[in-house]
Formats: sequence, structure tokens, C-alpha cells
Amino acid sequence: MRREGLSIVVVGVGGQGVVFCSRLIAETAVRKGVHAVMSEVHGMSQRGGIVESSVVLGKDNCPMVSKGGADLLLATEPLEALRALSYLSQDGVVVTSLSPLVPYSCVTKPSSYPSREEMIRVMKSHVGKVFAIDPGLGAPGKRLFINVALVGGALRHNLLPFLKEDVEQALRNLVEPKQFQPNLASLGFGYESVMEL
Amino acid sequence: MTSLDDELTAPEGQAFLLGDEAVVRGALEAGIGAFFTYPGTPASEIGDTFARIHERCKVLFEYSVNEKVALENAIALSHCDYRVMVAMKHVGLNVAMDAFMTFPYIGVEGGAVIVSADDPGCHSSQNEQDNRHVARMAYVPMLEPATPQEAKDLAFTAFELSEATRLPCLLRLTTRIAHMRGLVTFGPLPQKVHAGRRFIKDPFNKVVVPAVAKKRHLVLLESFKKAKELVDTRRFAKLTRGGERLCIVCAGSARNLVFRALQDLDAYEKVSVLELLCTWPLPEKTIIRALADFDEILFVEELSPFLEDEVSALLFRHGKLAKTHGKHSGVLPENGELTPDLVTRALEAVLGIKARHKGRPACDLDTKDLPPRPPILCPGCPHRASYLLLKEALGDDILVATDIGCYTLGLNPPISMADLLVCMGSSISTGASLSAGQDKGVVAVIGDSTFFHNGLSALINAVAQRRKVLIACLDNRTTAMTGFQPHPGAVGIGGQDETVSIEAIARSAGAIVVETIDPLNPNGAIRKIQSAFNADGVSVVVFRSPCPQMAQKASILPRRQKVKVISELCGYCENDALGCHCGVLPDDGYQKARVRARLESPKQEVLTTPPCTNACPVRLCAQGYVGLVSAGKFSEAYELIRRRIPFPSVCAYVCHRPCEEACAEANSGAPVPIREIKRVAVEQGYRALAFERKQETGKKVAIIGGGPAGLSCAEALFLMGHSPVVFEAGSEPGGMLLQAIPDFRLPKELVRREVKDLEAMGIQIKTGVRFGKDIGVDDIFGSGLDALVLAVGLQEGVRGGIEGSDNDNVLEALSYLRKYSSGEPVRCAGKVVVVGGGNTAVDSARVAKRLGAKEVEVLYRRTMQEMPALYEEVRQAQDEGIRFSFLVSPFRIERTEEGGLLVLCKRMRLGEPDESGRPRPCPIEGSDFKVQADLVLLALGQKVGYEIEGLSSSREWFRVKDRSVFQTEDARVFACGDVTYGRATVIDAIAQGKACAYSVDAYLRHSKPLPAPWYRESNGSGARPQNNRSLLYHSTSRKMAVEEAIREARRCRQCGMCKNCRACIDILGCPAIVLEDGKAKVIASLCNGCGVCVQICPNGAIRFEG
Repeated sequence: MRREGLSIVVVGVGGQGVVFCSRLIAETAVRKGVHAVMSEVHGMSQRGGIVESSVVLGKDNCPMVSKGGADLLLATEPLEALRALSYLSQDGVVVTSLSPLVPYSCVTKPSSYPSREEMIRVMKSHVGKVFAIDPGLGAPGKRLFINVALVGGALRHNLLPFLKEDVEQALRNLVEPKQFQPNLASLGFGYESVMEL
Repeated sequence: MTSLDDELTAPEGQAFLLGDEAVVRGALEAGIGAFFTYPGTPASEIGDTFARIHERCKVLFEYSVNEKVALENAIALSHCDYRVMVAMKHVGLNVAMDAFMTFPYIGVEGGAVIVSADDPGCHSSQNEQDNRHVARMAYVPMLEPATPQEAKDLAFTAFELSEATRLPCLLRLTTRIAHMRGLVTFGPLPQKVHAGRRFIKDPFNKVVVPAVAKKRHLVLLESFKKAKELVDTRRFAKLTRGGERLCIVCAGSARNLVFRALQDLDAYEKVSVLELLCTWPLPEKTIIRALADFDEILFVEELSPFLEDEVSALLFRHGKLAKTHGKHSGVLPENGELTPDLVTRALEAVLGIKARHKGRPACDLDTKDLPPRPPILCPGCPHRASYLLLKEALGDDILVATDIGCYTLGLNPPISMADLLVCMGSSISTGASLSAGQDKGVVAVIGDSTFFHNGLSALINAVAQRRKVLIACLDNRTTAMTGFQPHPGAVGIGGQDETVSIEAIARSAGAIVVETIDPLNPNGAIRKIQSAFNADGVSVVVFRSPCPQMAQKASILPRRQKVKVISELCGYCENDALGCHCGVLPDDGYQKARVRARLESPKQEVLTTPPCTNACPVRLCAQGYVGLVSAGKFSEAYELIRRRIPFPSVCAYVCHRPCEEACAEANSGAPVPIREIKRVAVEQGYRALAFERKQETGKKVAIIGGGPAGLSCAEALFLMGHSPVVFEAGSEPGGMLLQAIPDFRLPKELVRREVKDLEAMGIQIKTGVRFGKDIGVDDIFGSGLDALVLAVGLQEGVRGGIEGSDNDNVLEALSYLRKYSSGEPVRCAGKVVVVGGGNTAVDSARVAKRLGAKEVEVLYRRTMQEMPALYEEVRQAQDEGIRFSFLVSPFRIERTEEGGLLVLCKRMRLGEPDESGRPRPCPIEGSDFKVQADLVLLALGQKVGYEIEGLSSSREWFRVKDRSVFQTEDARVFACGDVTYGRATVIDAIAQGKACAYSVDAYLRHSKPLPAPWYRESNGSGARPQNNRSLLYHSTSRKMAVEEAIREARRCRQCGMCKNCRACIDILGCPAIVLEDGKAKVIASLCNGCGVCVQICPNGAIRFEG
């Protein structure tokens, strides 16, 4: 890891497990003896609002990330990836889900939610690399934990300083035994199906 | 998986904890004996953690009803020698202030730590007050951690400090510390908890009467002096030397931001940093020593310049001058939370340096145009249903005093029910006061937990002050927003047990109405809400249904079927299917009317098409414009009417109302007064409208006859892109509307206005042109005409076969009416007898009466039952004093010597039905009698009236070969209106005109006429209007007022399906329902089967699965 450490911002919609995603990364780091702090803001966000969380590895005790201070942006929802894009530095990388959760303001005006192509175009024109996971490609009927899949995708492209096994270990410690397999499967799905756009 | 609780309670170890969780560990290490709290973000996790582990840790634990009670509990136990902790959010301390301010006076026995979790940035709070001032005001020591490790360590220390000073100790967190995770290394746990269970009786130090208070204040000041000495160490004021230029003074999360900024700016060597862990009292000597060598100081802190002011004052008292930067110099804001950017910029400004380019942003993306995503009520939230019921019951013109909880999200659209909010429990007090201070109705909306927290006092006050206010208590059986904690009204798993009943409290407090409603099963709810609202006092309606999120977590959510949308029914409209959509866009007011109708008549089945629309010959959607009127949308209602028919005013005055008849059946004999509502809509919403015209075809169509049929045909053809020209024989167009229907039934200026609007659209009308005389047949087709429409009506009155009809003073009634309408002098006389049973007969009778006839009698050969005239006209005529003699048939008219007339009549009886389907009138032999008359008017029927010169076979042109397409024997020639099927009503004429245009259009484009899918030939020959006595509304000269029209329109049950519907999205706004290709779709993964959408879908298109 660089001297400046690794700053990761995770965003999405309340209920998508944004905070858990950060926690997974942070706990993996701690297990490997890497200094980690993270911020999570919850309460109102549960109610379908925006959730933002950040993890700062190998750096200091400030869990917040400044605009342009993030190396990696993980997004469980593409519109939120757009909204949080300016957290990334110019070399920053975004790994996003492609599956939209249309906010109420757009349900009443269907044309106002940006198209997938438009969102990808904006992301690509502003940041170093854009990776995406399409939950639609997952096995139908199987529950996909997109928050964990994003971590899988990041691992695949060496965006996190751990091995997949490290994350699996941390995951085992963080979820109920019943939930471990589906979470593990999601991690694998992200790892295998992440695409560079 | 290692459970957090096991980790937290292990004798030793390390864990990656939230600041809140670390506080718990610190307290455990200090041997905490009792913990009290009321949930509040960001402190809730402290209480929730203790809730889970208190038994195994033998800590007395309580979710108190509010923070004041929590602190008072703790104070008592501190004096029983318990180490106690109370945790709350910043505004929670406001609630506890009364106890907090006097606690230091009586002091502590067992150490007491009060955790105040502030919320700079208002992540989830109604303000961002800076509670550091409270420590100063109360003279209590205050510690501020910056990391979870410090949170644990300082929580531990706080107990020791509290016992050493005998003062309660404030542990001050902020959101970024409480909700930050970091690695925490544990200390050992004590052998047993600190719970002495021993109260030292010392009333003259513990009962704060004024004399005691004065004495104790001195003790407090001594204790505080001791605190000053104890905290004045480098443990609580750490100096990190870097450069000499500037020293930064900071505390709490600002410390983390400062070190981040120093790294980003590579400025470690330029500045030094003094970190304060105890921010009250200030570690004075340590600070003075640390800052001695600095001439410039930057204070980095959040919110108010607390440290800046206190440290500056300290320096000043010691004669130390320095240049200071901070809030007062404007490098940092006094609002909002501190971010790395803000601190970096402040440092840049003060040091005059720029950040390295490592952190340059990838983009300057302007996100303000991105669709916002505010928090909204969850799918299946019963509050959504409760708000909907309140809205439907009380309307939009009310004030809503709201409170703090999930239900506050009713602020946002589409619910938009919130007008005033201050703090927990303020809904009832502000609501009661609003009702006294202004005239709109008021609802106070409060949640169950909030009610117990601080609603009782306001309720009692409202009753005692005799206020008139409705209190809607939305009881979802939990304290939801903060994480589903219990409260006195909802304990046990999933809030299923109830220790204290809200309804019982309301009743014993004296509320005059107390009701309970299940918002998901609202039978009779709207009525209950309305009567509670109208009650003359304080009424309480409890809306009770468990939060599905909480119920799911507690595994008590009943298995409910999900819902699905039947897409064929979603947005189905029969008119639309028949190709005559109303052309109006979805309107909120109309949608609300439809939802209201559904909620008020939940058992009523939704019909494929509204009966009113179905009964109308032109399928004008009465449901649509009545619904719009009920919402006060007169412009839109007028537009809907005008789009379908070119004569809204005319129909509003004289239509025979088949819609109301159908409505009468649907509404058990009490129809909605649709025609009068239409009249009000026209009166309020009239304006000239322009409609889109299809691409010009260049096809020329001549329309002979400028009456309602001809003009409707012309308008329709024009909008289809053809070029119609109307030829009217009279001096102005309008036909029977102007010539025959008297002005007291139909104001002429309205007819003229509507005709003028048609001309303004671009439709050519040539008046004074008689077809067959002024234009010949050859002229017409010779000039490149593509089709001809005969809409000449039945212009001539039938004289009939009564002997003596050629007498003077025996006039034909239709010409009589024409003369009257044209303003020519008309004869009148003492006794006028009218022969006939149609509208012409009744109209001319009424004209005669108005012209001064002393007596007017109408002779008709059948009974009122069979009269073709509109029932309402007959009744009005009778009201005007006109006598009707039934079963009378004149056979001869004789002159008397004085110059009068005698009408010889036979009495009739009804026999078998004739070809018209009505009983044949049969003369009764020997029943002859005479009726005296000065003037006799014959209204015995109408016929075409003239031959068309130059057409030997002109008769064919009036004989329609195919009735469904209005085509005559000559393929180019069509006929519609009275001339085709016999005398009919205005709306029939309009319907025929439009249907004929449809057919002509098909003929012009594809050489083959087609029947209009929506057109239905009226029953019977001559389209006899119905004589239905169930039309109870008696149209008199009294015109309905606007408010009455709206009220009556609200009676509309909205029986039929409608396409203009997005009620599930626009009115309900459930996040589990979205639009896909114009149809509603349920996102199954979000739906938890609450069924509110099933209740409100105005088309009945949403059903439970299975």
C-alpha cells in the first residue's frame, strides 16, 4: 500500500448494504494488521435515501474522504455512483452496479432517470477506469448481494490490497452461518462477472 | 461468526468497534451498574448494545420514556452508589436539562456519565446545537474523544473523574465519532459491577430547596475547582510540536481532520497541534504552557467558536497575546460538519500555501441536476395508508402540525402533509395553538413513541384549554426511525404487548372523541376521522398497525400475499378502446377524487365503463368531468367536454340526460346532477380552445344544414384534416337550437358563442344559402366536391289530419316557435290550446303562457307515460300553470260566432302497442266533448320540408341505405341528424354528426365508409327520449352554485375504469410500484403485501396474488 494509504468511498441506496460493504473491507484490513477506520452515517438513510460510507486504510484516524481524495468508489446503484463521482481522484476507479433503483422523483417523470449509456458515458469521461457488475446477469431466483459482489469485482482487478481468501475469512465472521453461502456466492459472482467498461 | 456481544463482554481482546460500542466497553470496564436512555441518532447504538447485553453483564437497563426521566432515574441510582450512564442525542439533553442543571448541585455518589451525541451537519436531527456550552453552563467536566479507542478510554475515565469531583461528567460525541469504526484494544473487566445499593440519607444536601441550593452551589464551585486541577495534565492536552509559525488548537473529530489536512498539505513541519481531550474545564496551565511560544493560533472546531472563545479568554487573562484564526476570522463556518476540504482550505488560507496535487478531484461534476433521492416511507408502511385516509377524509385545505419520527417523511410529495415542526411532542401543542390562532382546520400528527415521550402534557393542556383539534396518533408499535426500540405503549417482541394504552390516556385526559383505526383495513375510517375532526373539542384517533420492517425483524410479520397488477385493467378505458379517448392528461385532483370514491365505497365493483359515459350517445365521459369538478378543476372539466362535443353550453341546458338516468340506477335513485355540474363547468371554465388538426387532405365536403348535426360533422371532418363547408339556409347557423328551442330553455348567446368558436377554428359556414335553390345539385358536385352530407333536419311541422285546421287562429306550432325565436310578433290570446305531446308542443305552450295567455291547455292522446316530451319540461310547464289533458284526441276544429274556436275531442283509451312500441290510443265512442280556445297550436310532428330542385330521385338522398355508416343510395352522399332517423334530441344529433364524419372520413381515405366504433344507434325510431320519473333533480330556473356543484360532484362513485390514472404512483407513492411502458408494475422484492394499493386502485387492477 502507498504511504498515503487507500481511501474508499461506498455509496448506494438505504437497504442495499452499503455500510456492510465498507465494514467487510475494513474488517478484512484489520485482520491483516492494516490500520483501518471507517465512517457510516445511518438513521434516516434507511428510508430509501442515499447512504454514504467510507473506509480509509493504512493512513490516519480520519474516516472521512475529501472530494478528489478517494482512490476507489464502490456503488450499489449507478445514479449514486454519478452523484458521488467527485470523491474520486483523477486516477480513481469506480466499480458500480448497473441495476437502477429509480427514486420516486423519477417514477413520476420516467424520462428524468438517466439512461445506462448516458451514465456510463459520464463516468468514463471523468475518471480513470470504470468497472461494472450487472446484477441482471446473475442466476434468476438467486438472491444477489450486490454490496458484496462489488468487493469481489474490486478484488478481481487488484483494487484492494487483499486476496479473495482474506475477504472470505472476514465475511465468515461477519454474517450469520445461514447467510454465509449466498454472500460467498455473491462475492464470487462479482469476481467473475465484473466488466471493464 | 463471533457475536459482537460476546466480543464486547469478553475479559480482554480487541475489536473493530463503532464509537458508540466502544463507549459501552468503556462503561463495562468501569463497572457500570445502571444504564438509561431514550433512542436518538447517533447515540442509539449505545442503548441498543446495552439492551442486548445488560442481563449477562448484570447492568440495570432501561429504555426510558424520555431523556429527562432517564436522567432522573440515573441520578437516584447514582445516589444508591451505582455507577450510572445516560446516553442521548444532543436535543435529548434539552429534554433532560432541568435535571441536568441541578444534578451538579446535589452531586454524585456513584460516578455518573452523561453521553451527549451531537449531530453537526444535521444528518438526522432537527438542529445542530453545540452541547459543549451545556457543560460550561452546568459546571460539569466534559471529555471529547476523537476515535473509538478514545471513546472507550474516556468513557472509563469519565466515571473516575466523576467520582473524584463528585460531579456528573459529560462525554461529548459527534456523529462522526459515534458512527466511526476503529480498532479498540480492551482493558480488563472488573470483578463485579459498581452497584452499592446504599442510599446515604442527607436531606439538607440532597433536597434542593433554596437554602440548600445556595449552599450546594458553593460546594459545586469547589468541586469544579478540583476538576480544573485534575484535568490539567498532558493527558488531556497533548501538544505535537511541528513548526513554530502556527499552533492549531482542536478537539474531537476536528483533530482527525487536522492531521489529514497536514498530510495533504505536507505541512507537518510548519505547524504544531494542541489536541484537547478535556474541553471543560480547560486544562488551563497546560494550555498556557503549550501556547506560550506561538504568536498565531488557528482554532479548528465544529459549529460554534467554543474553544476559540474560551481559550482566547484564557490567554487574555494571562496576558498572552496572539493572532487568532477560526470562526471569528471567517476561515471556518459556524454551521455544518467539518470536512477534510474545509479544514484544508482553512489551513491554506492561514498558511498561504496550496495543497499538493495528489488530491485533485477527478471531476467537477455538477450534481444538482441529478434526480434527488430523499428518504421516503418504506413500501407497506402503514403511515402511508394513514395519511391517505386523513387526506381523503379532511381534504387538502388543513394545517398539519407534525412531529419527529418516520411519519415526518409525510412532508415530501406525494403525501405533503406537514406544516409545522419544532421538537418531540410539539405537534399537539402547536396544533392546539394553531387551531386557536387561525381558521383552517388542524390535525396534529404524532407517533406512538413520541406521544409517550412528550405528548401527554400537551394533550392535557389542549383539553384543559378547550381547544378544538384532531390528534392523529400513528401507532406503528415501535420507535422505528432509531432502530425499533420499545416504548411503554409497545413492549415485548415486536411491540405486541402494551403496558400503557394511548386510548385510555386520551379518554382519561378528557378527549371527547377517541377512535382506533386499522389503516390497512379502513372500514368506515373516513367517516370516523371526519366526525372526530368535526367534534367540538380535542379528539384522538389512533391509527394502529405494526411497522413491517420491525415486524419482519421480529419475525412477527404475518404471511401476506404480495400484490400484482393486472395490466389489462391498468389504465383501461372503454372510450380509449373505442377510439374516443377524452384527450385529457392525468390530473392530481381527479385522481384524488377517484381514490376517494374507492375508499368511500370499498365494496363497489369497478365497471369496465362508467354507466353515464355508456349511456351518452356520444360517449362523453361524464365521470371524467364530474370528477374534475369535484376537485375544483373547472378549466380541465370544460376542456374534456369541449374536446368531445362542440356544444357544451347547449347540452348543459337542454340535454335529456341519459347519463343521469344511468347514474340513477347505479346510485339507487339519487343520481348525481350531471347536467347542472356540466353547466357550472362551462360557466367557470369556458374559453375558446384550439385543437390539433390532422394533416390536410384537400378533400372537400359540403354539409347541408348548420344545425347541431351538421356543425358537429363539420368540426369532426375539419379536425380529421378535410375541408368541410357548411351551407345554411337561414341567416345564421344553429338550426333548431336557435329557431325552435325557446330562449328561456337555452340562452341564444351561448349558442352563438359556440358557433362563433367553430368559425374561429377555421370552419367555413355560408349562411343564407338554400340547397336546391341557391345552389343546385350540379353546382355542388361540379365544383370538385368529394362528399356531401345532408343534415337538413326536419324543418316543417306536420299539419295533420284534423278537420278545420285551415282556420285562422289554428297555427302550426313549429312555425310559431320560429317566429317567436326570430323576434317577430307572435299571436297570443286568452285561451291557447296546444295539440301534441312532444317538446314542440310543450315549448309552444310555455311560449304562449309567457306571451300572456290566460290559460294554456295541452291535449295529448296518450298519457304522460308515453309523451315524447322531456319529463322535466312537462313538469316545468305544469309549474307554470299549464294544464295537461291526457287521453284526449281532437278530431275537428270549429269557429264560434264570437270568433273563437271550439276543439272537438274524443277521449281515448290505451290499446295494444303500435309500431312505435307504445300503446295505441283508441277512441272511446260517445265520449265527444268540446274544448274552447282562442288560439290552437298544432304540434303533430316534423318532416323534411322541401324538395331539392334538380333531383328527380332526390328522395334517395334522404334515405339512408346503411344506417351504421350514414351512407345513402348515392355513395357520395351521407345523411345524419333528424333527417335520417326522425326527430331526436340535441345530443343524438351531435352523436350522429360525429359518427357520420367518421364514416365519411373512411370513405374519403379508403373509398369505404366505416362505422364509428363508439357509435350506437339510439333505441326506437326517432330516438325517443326516456320519460324516467326517477330523474329526481327538477331543473328549474334556479341555477346551481359553484360550491354546491363541487359538493354534488363529490357524490360521483367513479364507477368505471379510466385511463388517466397513475393513482398508485401520484397519490399513493409506494416505492414498490413503478411505471413500465405506461403501466403500473409491482417490484415484488419490495412489496410486503400491505394491500393499500389494492384498496385504492381506481381501476381495480391491483389484486393480491393467488
